Amino acid sequence: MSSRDVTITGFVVVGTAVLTLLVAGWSGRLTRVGKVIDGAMARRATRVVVIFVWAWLGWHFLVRTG
Amino acid sequence: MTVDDHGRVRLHRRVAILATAAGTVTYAALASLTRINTVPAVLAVAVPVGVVAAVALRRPNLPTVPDARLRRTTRLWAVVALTGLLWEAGAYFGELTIGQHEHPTVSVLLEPSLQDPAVRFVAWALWLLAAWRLVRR
Repeated sequence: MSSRDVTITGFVVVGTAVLTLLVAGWSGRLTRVGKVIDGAMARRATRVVVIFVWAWLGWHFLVRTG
Repeated sequence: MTVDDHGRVRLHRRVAILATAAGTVTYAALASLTRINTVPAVLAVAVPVGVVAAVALRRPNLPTVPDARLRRTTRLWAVVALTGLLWEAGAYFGELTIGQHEHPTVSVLLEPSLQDPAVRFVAWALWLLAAWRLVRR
Protein backbone atom coordinates (compact mmCIF):
# COMPACT_ATOMS: atom_id res chain seq x y z
CA MET A 1 0.00 0.00 0.00
CA SER A 2 1.52 3.33 -1.08
CA SER A 3 1.54 6.59 0.94
CA ARG A 4 -1.10 7.91 -1.44
CA ASP A 5 -3.38 4.94 -0.71
CA VAL A 6 -2.94 5.40 3.06
CA THR A 7 -3.74 9.13 2.79
CA ILE A 8 -6.86 8.51 0.70
CA THR A 9 -7.98 5.66 2.98
CA GLY A 10 -7.79 8.06 5.94
CA PHE A 11 -10.13 10.50 4.20
CA VAL A 12 -12.52 7.66 3.30
CA VAL A 13 -12.57 6.53 6.95
CA VAL A 14 -13.32 10.08 8.17
CA GLY A 15 -16.01 10.49 5.49
CA THR A 16 -17.58 7.18 6.51
CA ALA A 17 -17.55 8.27 10.16
CA VAL A 18 -19.34 11.53 9.21
CA LEU A 19 -21.99 9.59 7.26
CA THR A 20 -22.41 7.16 10.16
CA LEU A 21 -23.00 10.03 12.61
CA LEU A 22 -25.50 11.65 10.22
CA VAL A 23 -27.43 8.39 9.76
CA ALA A 24 -27.36 7.69 13.52
CA GLY A 25 -28.87 11.15 14.05
CA TRP A 26 -31.60 10.62 11.47
CA SER A 27 -32.47 7.19 12.87
CA GLY A 28 -32.67 8.55 16.44
CA ARG A 29 -29.73 6.60 17.92
CA LEU A 30 -27.81 9.87 18.45
CA THR A 31 -28.82 13.53 18.61
CA ARG A 32 -29.35 15.08 15.17
CA VAL A 33 -26.47 17.16 13.81
CA GLY A 34 -28.73 20.24 13.79
CA LYS A 35 -29.14 20.05 17.56
CA VAL A 36 -25.37 19.65 17.96
CA ILE A 37 -24.84 22.81 15.88
CA ASP A 38 -27.51 24.65 17.90
CA GLY A 39 -25.69 23.61 21.08
CA ALA A 40 -22.37 24.87 19.71
CA MET A 41 -23.96 28.11 18.49
CA ALA A 42 -25.50 28.82 21.90
CA ARG A 43 -22.15 29.90 23.38
CA ARG A 44 -20.11 32.66 21.80
CA ALA A 45 -16.75 30.85 22.19
CA THR A 46 -17.86 27.74 20.30
CA ARG A 47 -19.88 29.89 17.87
CA VAL A 48 -16.65 31.56 16.76
CA VAL A 49 -15.06 28.14 16.13
CA VAL A 50 -18.07 26.88 14.13
CA ILE A 51 -18.19 30.04 11.98
CA PHE A 52 -14.42 29.89 11.43
CA VAL A 53 -14.59 26.26 10.26
CA TRP A 54 -17.54 27.02 7.96
CA ALA A 55 -15.76 30.10 6.51
CA TRP A 56 -12.54 28.10 6.03
CA LEU A 57 -14.44 25.37 4.13
CA GLY A 58 -15.89 28.01 1.80
CA TRP A 59 -12.51 29.63 1.27
CA HIS A 60 -10.67 26.34 0.81
CA PHE A 61 -13.07 24.63 -1.60
CA LEU A 62 -14.80 27.50 -3.39
CA VAL A 63 -12.03 30.08 -3.69
CA ARG A 64 -8.71 28.26 -3.47
CA THR A 65 -8.52 24.60 -4.30
CA GLY A 66 -5.49 22.46 -4.84
CA MET B 1 -52.72 33.70 19.97
CA THR B 2 -55.81 33.15 17.79
CA VAL B 3 -56.22 30.60 14.99
CA ASP B 4 -55.81 33.51 12.56
CA ASP B 5 -52.49 34.50 14.17
CA HIS B 6 -51.23 30.90 13.93
CA GLY B 7 -52.15 30.87 10.24
CA ARG B 8 -50.33 34.15 9.68
CA VAL B 9 -47.20 32.90 11.48
CA ARG B 10 -47.22 29.71 9.38
CA LEU B 11 -47.61 31.77 6.20
CA HIS B 12 -44.73 34.09 7.19
CA ARG B 13 -42.60 31.05 7.95
CA ARG B 14 -43.36 29.50 4.56
CA VAL B 15 -42.63 32.78 2.76
CA ALA B 16 -39.32 33.08 4.68
CA ILE B 17 -38.35 29.51 3.76
CA LEU B 18 -39.23 30.03 0.09
CA ALA B 19 -37.37 33.37 -0.02
CA THR B 20 -34.31 31.76 1.60
CA ALA B 21 -34.40 28.83 -0.84
CA ALA B 22 -34.79 31.16 -3.85
CA GLY B 23 -32.01 33.44 -2.58
CA THR B 24 -29.71 30.49 -1.92
CA VAL B 25 -30.27 28.97 -5.37
CA THR B 26 -29.82 32.34 -7.13
CA TYR B 27 -26.66 33.20 -5.17
CA ALA B 28 -25.25 29.68 -5.66
CA ALA B 29 -25.97 29.85 -9.40
CA LEU B 30 -24.22 33.21 -9.75
CA ALA B 31 -21.33 32.33 -7.43
CA SER B 32 -20.71 29.02 -9.19
CA LEU B 33 -19.91 31.03 -12.33
CA THR B 34 -16.83 32.47 -10.61
CA ARG B 35 -13.49 30.78 -11.19
CA ILE B 36 -11.23 29.66 -8.37
CA ASN B 37 -8.42 31.99 -7.30
CA THR B 38 -10.15 35.11 -8.66
CA VAL B 39 -11.37 38.29 -6.97
CA PRO B 40 -15.07 37.58 -7.77
CA ALA B 41 -14.75 34.18 -6.03
CA VAL B 42 -13.15 35.84 -2.99
CA LEU B 43 -15.97 38.42 -2.85
CA ALA B 44 -18.64 35.73 -3.32
CA VAL B 45 -17.33 33.93 -0.22
CA ALA B 46 -16.55 37.09 1.76
CA VAL B 47 -20.10 38.50 1.58
CA PRO B 48 -21.87 35.51 3.25
CA VAL B 49 -19.01 35.20 5.78
CA GLY B 50 -19.42 38.87 6.71
CA VAL B 51 -23.20 38.58 7.03
CA VAL B 52 -23.06 35.37 9.11
CA ALA B 53 -20.33 36.76 11.36
CA ALA B 54 -22.23 40.05 11.85
CA VAL B 55 -25.52 38.31 12.68
CA ALA B 56 -24.27 35.35 14.72
CA LEU B 57 -21.51 36.99 16.74
CA ARG B 58 -23.75 39.81 18.00
CA ARG B 59 -26.06 37.37 19.71
CA PRO B 60 -25.66 36.86 23.45
CA ASN B 61 -24.94 33.47 24.99
CA LEU B 62 -28.10 31.38 25.29
CA PRO B 63 -28.80 29.45 28.47
CA THR B 64 -28.73 25.76 27.54
CA VAL B 65 -28.68 22.60 29.58
CA PRO B 66 -27.32 19.87 27.28
CA ASP B 67 -28.55 16.37 28.16
CA ALA B 68 -26.25 13.33 28.29
CA ARG B 69 -27.11 12.22 24.74
CA LEU B 70 -26.33 15.66 23.29
CA ARG B 71 -23.01 15.76 25.17
CA ARG B 72 -22.10 12.28 23.89
CA THR B 73 -23.04 13.15 20.29
CA THR B 74 -21.12 16.44 20.49
CA ARG B 75 -18.04 14.58 21.73
CA LEU B 76 -18.30 12.10 18.83
CA TRP B 77 -18.63 14.91 16.26
CA ALA B 78 -15.69 16.74 17.85
CA VAL B 79 -13.51 13.60 17.65
CA VAL B 80 -14.41 12.99 13.99
CA ALA B 81 -13.92 16.67 13.05
CA LEU B 82 -10.58 16.86 14.86
CA THR B 83 -9.40 13.60 13.25
CA GLY B 84 -10.37 14.95 9.82
CA LEU B 85 -8.57 18.26 10.44
CA LEU B 86 -5.43 16.50 11.71
CA TRP B 87 -5.43 14.10 8.74
CA GLU B 88 -5.83 17.04 6.35
CA ALA B 89 -3.02 18.91 8.12
CA GLY B 90 -0.81 15.79 7.91
CA ALA B 91 -1.54 15.47 4.19
CA TYR B 92 -0.78 19.17 3.72
CA PHE B 93 2.62 18.89 5.39
CA GLY B 94 3.30 15.68 3.48
CA GLU B 95 2.39 17.52 0.29
CA LEU B 96 4.93 20.27 1.14
CA THR B 97 7.76 17.98 2.20
CA ILE B 98 7.30 14.81 0.14
CA GLY B 99 4.94 15.52 -2.74
CA GLN B 100 1.36 16.12 -3.76
CA HIS B 101 0.96 12.74 -5.43
CA GLU B 102 2.02 10.76 -2.35
CA HIS B 103 0.12 12.94 0.15
CA PRO B 104 -2.84 14.59 -1.55
CA THR B 105 -5.03 16.86 0.58
CA VAL B 106 -8.79 16.50 0.31
CA SER B 107 -8.95 19.70 -1.76
CA VAL B 108 -6.46 18.25 -4.28
CA LEU B 109 -8.60 15.10 -4.51
CA LEU B 110 -11.82 17.07 -4.98
CA GLU B 111 -10.42 19.76 -7.30
CA PRO B 112 -11.24 17.95 -10.58
CA SER B 113 -14.86 17.46 -9.48
CA LEU B 114 -15.17 21.06 -8.30
CA GLN B 115 -14.28 22.29 -11.79
CA ASP B 116 -17.55 20.83 -13.05
CA PRO B 117 -20.21 23.60 -13.08
CA ALA B 118 -22.98 21.36 -11.67
CA VAL B 119 -20.80 20.10 -8.80
CA ARG B 120 -19.61 23.65 -8.12
CA PHE B 121 -23.22 24.83 -7.95
CA VAL B 122 -24.14 22.04 -5.50
CA ALA B 123 -21.07 22.85 -3.36
CA TRP B 124 -22.05 26.52 -3.28
CA ALA B 125 -25.68 25.68 -2.43
CA LEU B 126 -24.63 23.36 0.43
CA TRP B 127 -22.23 25.95 1.83
CA LEU B 128 -24.93 28.65 1.71
CA LEU B 129 -27.50 26.34 3.31
CA ALA B 130 -25.01 25.78 6.12
CA ALA B 131 -24.81 29.58 6.47
CA TRP B 132 -28.57 29.81 6.79
CA ARG B 133 -28.47 27.03 9.41
CA LEU B 134 -25.88 28.99 11.40
CA VAL B 135 -27.88 32.23 11.56
CA ARG B 136 -31.44 30.94 11.91
CA ARG B 137 -32.96 31.04 15.38
